[in-house]
Amino acid sequence: MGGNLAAREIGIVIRLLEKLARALNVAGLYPHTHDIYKQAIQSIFEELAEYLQQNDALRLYVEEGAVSLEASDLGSLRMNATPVSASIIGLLARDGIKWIEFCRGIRMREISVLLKIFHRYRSLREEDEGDIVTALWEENLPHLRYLSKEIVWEAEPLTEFTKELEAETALLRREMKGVRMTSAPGRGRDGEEVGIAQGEGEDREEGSSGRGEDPVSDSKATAASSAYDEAATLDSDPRLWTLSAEELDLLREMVYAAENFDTAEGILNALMLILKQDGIESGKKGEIPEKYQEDMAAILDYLKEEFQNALEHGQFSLAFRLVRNIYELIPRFSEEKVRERELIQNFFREISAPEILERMNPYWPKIESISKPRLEAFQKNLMLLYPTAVKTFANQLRKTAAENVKELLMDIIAALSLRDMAPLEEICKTGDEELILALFPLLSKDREEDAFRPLLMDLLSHESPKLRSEALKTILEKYPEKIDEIFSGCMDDPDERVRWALLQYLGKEKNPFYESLMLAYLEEEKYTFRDQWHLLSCYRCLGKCGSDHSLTFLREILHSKERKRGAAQEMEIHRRGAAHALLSIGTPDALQIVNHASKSISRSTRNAALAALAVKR
Amino acid sequence: MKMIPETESGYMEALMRSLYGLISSLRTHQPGNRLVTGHADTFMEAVDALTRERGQITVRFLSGRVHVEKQRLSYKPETVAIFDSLIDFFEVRNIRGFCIDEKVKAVERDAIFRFARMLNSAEKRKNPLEWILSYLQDEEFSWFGVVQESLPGVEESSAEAEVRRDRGLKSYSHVLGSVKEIAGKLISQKEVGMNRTRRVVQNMVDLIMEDDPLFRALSTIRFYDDYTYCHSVNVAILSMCIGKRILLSKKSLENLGLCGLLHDLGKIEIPKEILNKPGKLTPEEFEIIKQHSVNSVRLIIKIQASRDQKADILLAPFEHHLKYDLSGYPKLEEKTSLSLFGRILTIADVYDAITSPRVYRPTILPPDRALGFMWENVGKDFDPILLKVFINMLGIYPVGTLLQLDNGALGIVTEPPPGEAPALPGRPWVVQIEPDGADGYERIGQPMNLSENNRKNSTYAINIIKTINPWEMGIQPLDYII
Repeated sequence: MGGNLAAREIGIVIRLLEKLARALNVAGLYPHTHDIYKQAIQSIFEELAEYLQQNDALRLYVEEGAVSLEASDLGSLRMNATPVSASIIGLLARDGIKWIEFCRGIRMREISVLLKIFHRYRSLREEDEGDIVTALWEENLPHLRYLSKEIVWEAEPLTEFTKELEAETALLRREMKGVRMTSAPGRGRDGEEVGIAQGEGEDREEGSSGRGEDPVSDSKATAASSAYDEAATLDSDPRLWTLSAEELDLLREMVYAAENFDTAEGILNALMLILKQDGIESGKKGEIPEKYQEDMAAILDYLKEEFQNALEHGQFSLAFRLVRNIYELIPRFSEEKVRERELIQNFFREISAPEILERMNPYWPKIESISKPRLEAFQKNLMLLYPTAVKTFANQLRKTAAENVKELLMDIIAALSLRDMAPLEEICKTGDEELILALFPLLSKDREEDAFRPLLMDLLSHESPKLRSEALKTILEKYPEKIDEIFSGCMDDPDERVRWALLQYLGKEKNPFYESLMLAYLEEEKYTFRDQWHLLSCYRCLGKCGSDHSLTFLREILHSKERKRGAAQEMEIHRRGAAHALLSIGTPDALQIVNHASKSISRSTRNAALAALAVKR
Repeated sequence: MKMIPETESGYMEALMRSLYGLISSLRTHQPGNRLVTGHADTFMEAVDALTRERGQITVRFLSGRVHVEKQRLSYKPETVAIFDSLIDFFEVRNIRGFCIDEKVKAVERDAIFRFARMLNSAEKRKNPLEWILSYLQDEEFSWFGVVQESLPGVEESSAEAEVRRDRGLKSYSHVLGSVKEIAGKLISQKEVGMNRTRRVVQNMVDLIMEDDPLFRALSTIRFYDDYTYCHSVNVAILSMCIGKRILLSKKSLENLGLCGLLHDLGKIEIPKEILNKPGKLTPEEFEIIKQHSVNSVRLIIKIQASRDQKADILLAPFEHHLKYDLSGYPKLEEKTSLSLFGRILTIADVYDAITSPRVYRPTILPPDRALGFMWENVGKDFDPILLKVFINMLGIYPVGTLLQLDNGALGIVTEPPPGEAPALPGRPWVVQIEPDGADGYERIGQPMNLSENNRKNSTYAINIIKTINPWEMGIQPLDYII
């Protein structure tokens, strides 16, 4: 070997292996639809295409740490693994692949499947479901061939059958002494049946009619025996068991159905039967053995995956039949079956996690169009979930435009939150503004015992001014009696919009309680913000909700000459505010105070009153 | 270095081990490496011992086994992989055997290394044998010769038959080992995966696709002590054969095979005293027995596998005691139909069970009667279409049926008459057996076709008087049919 040709072929193999190794890394980082992944596949395809233009196939013999290529006219070209290609060679050697061959005509899809297989079995657990060889066998790729060693079992002792069969035969002879064997006559010289031999016996368990469904009953046992004894040999007329054209059609249909059969319903029935049995067992024995608990855990784990799979495929009726069945199991386990109840709780908790329920996401647009009764049934099912499901449904609520689905989601979130408020609380604490805003219609609805009120109150401290403001509006609308509780907090809110919302509300009408709040706020100088906008807004509010009860304070402010309220500039604002408030109160006494002030010898008092009167005019 | 047992077979085994070691170590190591020189020394020591009296030693690869001189080396757990690899190694080079002359004793180690490397690199040549032979012209390698003729007295056809038999038995053995391993791990509550089982079953599917008569013959194996495991393998084989016949995909055949293997897994949880109790069971005991199909599901679900993999293999084991009319057990609250795999498994399970000798089953049916018995329950216990397929597949005298012939001899059915619905279904191919004088039987001559006419009077040359259960005579049919 040697020369440029060998170097070229070696180059191709090394590049191919390295590209495979790099693509394997890419497969771990990017989804298979990503451009980078597609480029990696394309690059491998091109490398192979170059070789396969001139050769029918590229077969690589795999050794530990090396591959060799059978090259036409060049003999064997052996290449040690490079640091990059070592991972691919190592994978192939690990699973006992002796050689792998890429044949002319190979498609990109086949390369992609190969990479997916490498990726899936990149690291193999000691007890795994399969390996590269089982996966390649299953995929049966037309342009990708391989030969594998029996490494998985080559170290196992091989049954020496000849010897074992001899030993077994001797044992059988010994054990079967005295056992009645049935013998059957032949079909005669012309192939016709001539009679049935007699015999007796029973089968206690296996077999069909002779399985001995009631092994105690002598009569049935005898019946089973005679069922065997009377069993005719098969009729030699082949027409009897020849498949008719109709039967062949049916058979084809059966096979087609089986190849596309979803076993989920059947498996669900089987597993539910087992779980119910466990419930019965627990009732009988007082305490379920640990084994049953382990079984139950394994079954519930499987059903969790089944649920997830059903959601992923939009099989909601199966998914929620499963959930309902398990829900109905709960009463079968009495209160003292703590572990069993805990397992079921865990099941509901786990299936309600976002990573599972999000599998439903693609189907929500379809849900919009289902009929009302079906929607109600669907809602009932969703309500069986654990309250952690609230996170997923809240997210969906924000994305949904359809009123019927919004309504459904809000009802579910509300129902689940009434069972446990923590998930909703968490959303209100850590969720983003848009998500929480989507929940306001829910939070403002009347619920049992004002269940959501604490959440609204908490939202008053949320970092988002918009949320604080919305929360305030909702509280003022739904819980006006709470105004006393929230007043000072809101009046100290750093955001003007929040304060404005409160002042707007208080100033809607004359209200002695609101007046007392505002009066105390201003009189006792409880305000944090001393800017013109805030102070004037407060005075205007006092004016709108206030009465003659505030006149003393306002007159005093308007005529005040002392600088007790801070700088002259701030005092000016107070005087103006007081004048505005008095005009808003609008009673004769209030107006008289302003008119009197407009003629005051104090310029600042006069100016404040005149300015207010000018605005009013 | 390992000591060589100073027996002839010890030296023979050492010769093969060291040759294999030499070839493989030189692929990755330099000749001076201690591993390589160690193999070379053992090789020389073994050759020295084996050629001392005879002058040369001959190795042949026949029927997938290694013969040194006329002795077939026995497979041991520690040698099976080595022997198989060596056979593969020489098969790729079109070498069926070789001889080593005592002249090798005078050869330098380096020449041995060059020789092993030459063998290694022959694999990639267009005509490896020709290439090797050209090298062997060299005086340096004159101690080695290629042997192409068969062992005297060993017919090529029988050698091929032996390869076929060995291949089948190996596959059977591996599958048997794998189901035992799963059961063992589950009993001891260890983690258990599907990797090994899937590989052996996939391998069996490939072989069944190629040669299902071989596997139908293998399904006549009956182990008395290992009944449950042997039964499981047989059910898997018969199910896969039905599956092949109705044109299921390879993937479905794999799943069907796995269902067959695991369908009785639940029996490991039944106390042996109940499982093997002779005679009738109490109602309580029978209830426990009836739990086994449900318990199989409990156990399969604990296997380390994805939901998709489990979904393919859970249902049929659960259903295998449910009859076609949905009676049987376990009792279900709602069930409208059985899966195809479940219906196939039921047929294979019942057939193997009622033709197997068990201490609690006083009546054992010969295969033809078993089919007759099943046919009487068609539509009630069994799917009519699938049972027809099964009967067509096995024939009315299934492979392994022991026949009393009217020429006084016993015959064992080796294959059913040809054709989907054979014209003469009652006239299969049989091999005649007769007592060997030592409590056993031996095969006489080649298989014969019972549909052959007597030339003189146009009647059949040999007729069937009756069928006999082979276990009655202490016969494992497999010994005579492949």
